[in-house]
Amino acid sequence: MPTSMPLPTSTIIYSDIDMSMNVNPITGDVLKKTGVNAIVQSVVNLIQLGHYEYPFHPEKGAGIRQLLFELPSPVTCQLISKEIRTVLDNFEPRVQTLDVVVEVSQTGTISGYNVTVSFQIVSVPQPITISVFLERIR
Amino acid sequence: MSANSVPQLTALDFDALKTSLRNFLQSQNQFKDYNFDGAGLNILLNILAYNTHLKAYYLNMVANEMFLDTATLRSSAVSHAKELGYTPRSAVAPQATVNVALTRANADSTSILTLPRFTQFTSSALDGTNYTFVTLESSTESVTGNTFNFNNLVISEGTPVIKSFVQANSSNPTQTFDLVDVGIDTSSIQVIVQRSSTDIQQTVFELSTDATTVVSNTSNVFFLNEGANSNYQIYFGDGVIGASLTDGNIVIVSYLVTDANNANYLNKFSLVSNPLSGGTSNVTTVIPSAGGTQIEDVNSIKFNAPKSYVAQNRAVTVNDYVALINKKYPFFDAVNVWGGEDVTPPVYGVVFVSVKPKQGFVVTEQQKQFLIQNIIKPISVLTVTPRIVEPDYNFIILDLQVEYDSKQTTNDSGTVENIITRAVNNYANINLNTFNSEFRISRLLRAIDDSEVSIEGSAATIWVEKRLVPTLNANTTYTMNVSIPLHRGTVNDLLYSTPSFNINDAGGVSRIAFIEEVPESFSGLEFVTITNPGSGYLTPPTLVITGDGTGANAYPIIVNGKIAQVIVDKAGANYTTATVIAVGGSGTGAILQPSLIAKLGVLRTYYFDTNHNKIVLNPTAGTIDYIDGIITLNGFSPTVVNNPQNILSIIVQPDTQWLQSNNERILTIDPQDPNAINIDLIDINKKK
Repeated sequence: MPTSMPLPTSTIIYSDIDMSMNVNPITGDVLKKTGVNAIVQSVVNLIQLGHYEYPFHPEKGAGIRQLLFELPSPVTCQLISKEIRTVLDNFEPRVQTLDVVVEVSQTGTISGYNVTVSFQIVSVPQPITISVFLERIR
Repeated sequence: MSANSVPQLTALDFDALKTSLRNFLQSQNQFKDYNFDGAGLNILLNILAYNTHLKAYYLNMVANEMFLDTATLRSSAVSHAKELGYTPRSAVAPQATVNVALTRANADSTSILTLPRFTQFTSSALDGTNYTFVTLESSTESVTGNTFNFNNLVISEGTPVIKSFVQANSSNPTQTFDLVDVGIDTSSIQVIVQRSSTDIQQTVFELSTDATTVVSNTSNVFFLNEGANSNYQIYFGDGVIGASLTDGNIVIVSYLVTDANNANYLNKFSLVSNPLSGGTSNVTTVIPSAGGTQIEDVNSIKFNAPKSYVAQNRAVTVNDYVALINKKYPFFDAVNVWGGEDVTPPVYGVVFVSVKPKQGFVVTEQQKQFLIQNIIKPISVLTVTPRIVEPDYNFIILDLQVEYDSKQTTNDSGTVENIITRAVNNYANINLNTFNSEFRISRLLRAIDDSEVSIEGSAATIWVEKRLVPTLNANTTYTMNVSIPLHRGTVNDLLYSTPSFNINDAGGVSRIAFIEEVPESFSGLEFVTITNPGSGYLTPPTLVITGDGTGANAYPIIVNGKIAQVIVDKAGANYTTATVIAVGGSGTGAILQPSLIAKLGVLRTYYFDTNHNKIVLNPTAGTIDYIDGIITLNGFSPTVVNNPQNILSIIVQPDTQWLQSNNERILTIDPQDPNAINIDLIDINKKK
């Protein structure tokens, strides 16, 4: 389990498959993501993972999807922020969450949340900030 | 990646499978993020592990269902049982026996009346439900006076269902018909085949249970099969084994859909509609409803099917009889079978069968005949004669002394008594009420002690009751076999009888009498206790034994002028009292105390005169064999037994704390008898 793993150091190169599933034009292999890119991909995956999507482990995931159907209010923003923090703290041991900012964004008919997650990869001094726009599509 | 590191995918569990895959990926360098829940690689691992898990599960399930031992689905177990020639038992409708008296109106001239199959009765309510009972066979009676008496009519609980199917060879070439109701009692299925809608000639087809019932290609038989969802199917012969149906035949199937055990223990019935217009009906219950049993469950099928296969539907060994009677006629609480060679004296060529009914204590003559003719004879060896033996009950009566601490409980004494009674009845249900049972007082006391937190301790005195229905006004000898060593009664714990009975004394005067054991009813000399060894004996003195018996002899052994030991070389007989005196030998002072033994004790009858003096009527009314546990009443001729059922109870203490039963004997605590469990509840706080 990730939580029981020794905390990785910066000397370990993280490598994962690229979720775009694009292939290397020369070798024909699936593209790789390494280092910081792999971790960022993992953070985004975790934010988007719903409860009960992971077989036999309903506790894994953030219940963001349900929250997108709530009224857009500061309370919902707070709940989304808390869910993201919790899922990262529990299931991504490689990062230390610094801040999660969730804001309601309404442009025209499209309404959603601008989520900005700032985190620091353990043993890497520079903080990383990623922004995700969350909207319900049905 | 190491060439030999193949993932071990033998587990069934998702997490274990995923761990195997992760361990496998550890040996590669391409993708390192196999161990992080958010990683893309982890999603692939989840899919692979989940897929492997499902495949392993289904494979395991399929393998399990392939064998009778491991099958869990009912349809699989039934299918395996079919291969072993075993048809799982259907639900069984409870049956009751009633007497129906139908009185016609004065103007009515009906002289012969038939109650057809499925004549409906309704029962009294049980838990708010009235159940329907029906006759399964038609019965006809002639009028007596103005009344038609249908006696000992057997009625079965259930809703009658009649269905008809038209056979069409094109759409139903296997001639199979589904009976879709749940809760069918298959023994009630009746199949009639009508030739066609224009030719109404009807033929009754019988159920074929095995090859012996199919004689030829024209045998009118049908076969029964349990299909999916516990539904039954009937099908017909193929024209080689059993008669085949032809196109256009109409199959009329009627059966009962029963509530099974829910409708047991009903004892009030009434006719739903009187077939005599303007007449009256009166239904009296002979035997309350009993025998209702749910459809055989999967575990029972798995247990019984191989055993049935071994017995091959033939009764040869004792266990064959028990298994086959239980399977074919599940109306009994317990069945015991033993060979004639095991009884004293041996009766060769006879097998004894004793059955305990679920309701009441008596097996009716009808049930006995049915059991012999329809159940046992067809499956037993030709030269072996079955004989049904009435079960013989040893009713246990308990005098309990229970100490409890009222400060330890919120229950009042009445509730504590009820809890104790329930614990005793529960013990009896689990350990007694059946053949070859054992009663251990220590187990019972433990159950009592554990029944309520406040109970500090308990003690019990056990009595055994034999019930006798004597023939009135006829000198008859009755033998009651307790088969347990009996206690030789002293004044406080004698054998006694209850209730009183009337019997004529020598002068022909009717007396209200009782039976009791003659206190300390002794017979021979067992040993002699030396109270004082005396002194100065030069030679062994002669021991003179005087008393009302004869034949006892004993001699002393002298050591240093004193009597050191007395040896009884002849016990003698018929002593109720005896004294031993040492004579001669030149010594003095020896005092010896004889102890008497008895195999046989004496019973007497007595009554109380107007001054409440006890007057012995017959000093030798019977005997009691303490060792073999046999009570005999000789020439017993009461004129009245003062009990509505004419039952005289003889109550005696056993000489052992472990009671066992064998053959036809059953140990039981009668839950209907208010005197069976007597509780003396002592509050230790009040004692202090």
